Amino acid sequence: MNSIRVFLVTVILATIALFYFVAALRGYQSSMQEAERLFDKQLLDTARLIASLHAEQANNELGHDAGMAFQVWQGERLLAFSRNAPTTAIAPHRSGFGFANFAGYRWRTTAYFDAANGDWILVADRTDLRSALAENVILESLLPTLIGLPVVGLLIWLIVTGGLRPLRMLAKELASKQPDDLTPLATKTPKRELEQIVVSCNGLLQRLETSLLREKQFASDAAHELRTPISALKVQLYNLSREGMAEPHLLSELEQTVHRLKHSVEQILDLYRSSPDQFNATFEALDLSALARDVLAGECTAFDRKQQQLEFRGQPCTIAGDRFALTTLLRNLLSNANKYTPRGGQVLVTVGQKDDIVRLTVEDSGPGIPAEQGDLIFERFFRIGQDRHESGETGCGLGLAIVKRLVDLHRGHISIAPSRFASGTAFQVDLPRLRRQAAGGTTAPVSKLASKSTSLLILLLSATPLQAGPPIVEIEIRDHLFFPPEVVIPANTKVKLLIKNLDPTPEEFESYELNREKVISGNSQTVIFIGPLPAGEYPFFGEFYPKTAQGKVRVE
Amino acid sequence: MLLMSVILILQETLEAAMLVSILAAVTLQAGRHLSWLPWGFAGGCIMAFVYAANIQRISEWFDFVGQELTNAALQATIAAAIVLLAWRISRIYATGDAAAVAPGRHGSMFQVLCALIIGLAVTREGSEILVYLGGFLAQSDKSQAVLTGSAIGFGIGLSVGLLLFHGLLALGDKRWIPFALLGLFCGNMLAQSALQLTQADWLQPGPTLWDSSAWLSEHSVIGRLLYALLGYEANPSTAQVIGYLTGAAAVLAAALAPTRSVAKA
Repeated sequence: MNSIRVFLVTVILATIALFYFVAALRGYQSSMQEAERLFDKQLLDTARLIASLHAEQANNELGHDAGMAFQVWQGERLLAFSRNAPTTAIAPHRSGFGFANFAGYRWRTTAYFDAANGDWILVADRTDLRSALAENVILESLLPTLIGLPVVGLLIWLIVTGGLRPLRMLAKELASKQPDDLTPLATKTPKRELEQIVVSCNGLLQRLETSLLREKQFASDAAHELRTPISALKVQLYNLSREGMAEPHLLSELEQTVHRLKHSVEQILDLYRSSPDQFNATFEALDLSALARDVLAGECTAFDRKQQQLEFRGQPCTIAGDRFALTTLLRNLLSNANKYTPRGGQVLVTVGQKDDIVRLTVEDSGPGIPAEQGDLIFERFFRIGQDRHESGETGCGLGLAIVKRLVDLHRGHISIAPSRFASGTAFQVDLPRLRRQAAGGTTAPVSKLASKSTSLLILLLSATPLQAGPPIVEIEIRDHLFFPPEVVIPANTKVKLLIKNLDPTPEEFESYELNREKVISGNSQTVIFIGPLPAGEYPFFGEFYPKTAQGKVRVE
Repeated sequence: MLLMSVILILQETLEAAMLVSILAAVTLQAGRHLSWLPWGFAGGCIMAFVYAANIQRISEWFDFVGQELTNAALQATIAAAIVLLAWRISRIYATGDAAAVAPGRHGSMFQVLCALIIGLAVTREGSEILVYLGGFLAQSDKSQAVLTGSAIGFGIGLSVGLLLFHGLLALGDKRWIPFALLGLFCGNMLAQSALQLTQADWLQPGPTLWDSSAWLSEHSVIGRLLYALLGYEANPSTAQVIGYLTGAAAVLAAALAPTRSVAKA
């Protein structure tokens, strides 16, 4: 009964039917009364007719009518009567109408005094016959309208359906609108009742668009405004520590706090960037395996710090994806595994393909995720056990929300399962595989080093040099800042720095200590090999934006 | 002929249609589905047919008061089911709307009670209609008038039911309304049951308490409507009034019982 149409049709039809039936009933009643009056008049006329005839004549003319009976009385003497009439008086000798039962029927009676002869003429006709006669006439007039009622119902249904059509069209247009489509409704000449809705909707869409634009602007401004002081803070901290003007433990606490602040700002911005109405993806054919390996190499220091064993197994798998987005995805999953896996634990990253699916799995030997919280972990700001997580790790609860969004943007699917270790979680990301034909003949920048059967093992604990080539460390330039601002590489090892400039403006990578200098144009990437180097710290900066673009390579 | 058909069919249809409307409105306001309606109606039709086909034999039971006793039993069962339903609804309201939406054991009890009430009501009213129509349709010369009258009576009853249903829904989520309507109906059923038992001489009617026939005749249109809706009786016996008050009080008690226990807790 939630349908306006059903409501209108049933209520209108019920009202019409009720009034129509009651009216029909009243009509029937008044018609019957009128018929009775006519029949009574006819009865009286018959009595007068009999009075004007002789008894024999009356018998001949009216005696054979089974529906009619008469008696002619003179005082107490019955002069004449019809065959179906009894010999007792069928009505009192008194003018007027009445009812009497005789000969097995109910009769309508009347008495007429013939003043000329001094006779009482009593006439009767059968009520069942006269009412049947009247009823048949009235029914003939009732029936067509009764049969017409279903037709009326059908017409009401069609009219109501037609009348609600503009509303249905409007609902259809609203339903077919894409989430990011903020253009005004196309409904041209709405009915007056709908005009306000359309105008309000369009006003709302307009305001929404304006506010989204403002939000976009705000995020971009905020990113710049927040990052600059954080970077400056880091530089000042570094200077402070060099000059030894502060207590080392205070400095280290301060450093941690600044790091946390920076992480939160980064994550919030990543989340914002990955929202569907902000994400400006440039999808390209790329090898997820190679990309994963690159990211792993960049993240190795964190695992190293917790003496965790990070292993990678992969085969070349081409997908259509956004390099930056997938890097963020991998980095968040790895950071998650790193944080919640205890010291000395294991983390395994695999990339494989089956049919049309490329599956990236990140497994850890951490405490695992309770099944009932399986869906919640992808919510924004959700943290298992809130901030009292036993790992003691800080976080803002955005990492997995970002991962989920990025997976969605790639039309993929993320699920969690128990890991292959004794405890822990396996995050499985399924992405659609890109067929070579679909890629338009272009081959992805597949790493030369990875072959189908290659199972690559990066043991960061021992810092074994990679057989396949130098480890890759990725640095991004975003909003004139280096991310990460500090990279850690093993000593005495050649390292490939993959530098991506995500800003539209060009930047120049410069380091006096590393003795490197290279211009990177806007929205592009480049590679700089460094090392082998002895342990130590090697600062670098962006020459075009030296105030903010500051970083260093720590060799251990 | 036509008028008689209208009156008879209307009387039976109106009572069933009003009961269906009230239960349907209550069901929707309690956030339940109307799945009891087809089951109850179909079951009632079958039972009505069985009852109508065996009306002769049933009438002979208990020294020819079998029909009264059967009707009294049907009406008393309906009254008992209404009391249970009222208790069920007050539980739904007391435990909150979230529990009402969740399907489960209590949900099926609600449906069974509604189906039972409608089934029994249709059995009683439907059997009378079937007996009436069956008798008249054998006379072919009167069948047209009877059928037309039946259609008009049925149409009026159905229309009043539909309008009552939408009217009740339009009144909104006022929680005393379902209890008030169920209370009136339950009282009506027990009063009719008492009347049937009085008729069967299984119950002493007691003195007639009042006579308002001059003021509002049971045979007037309004009188008939009130009879179907409230069980209006122009000159009720003590037994009927006691039955009516018992039924209404039982629904009231069922409506208040869980609220009180919740308040205590």
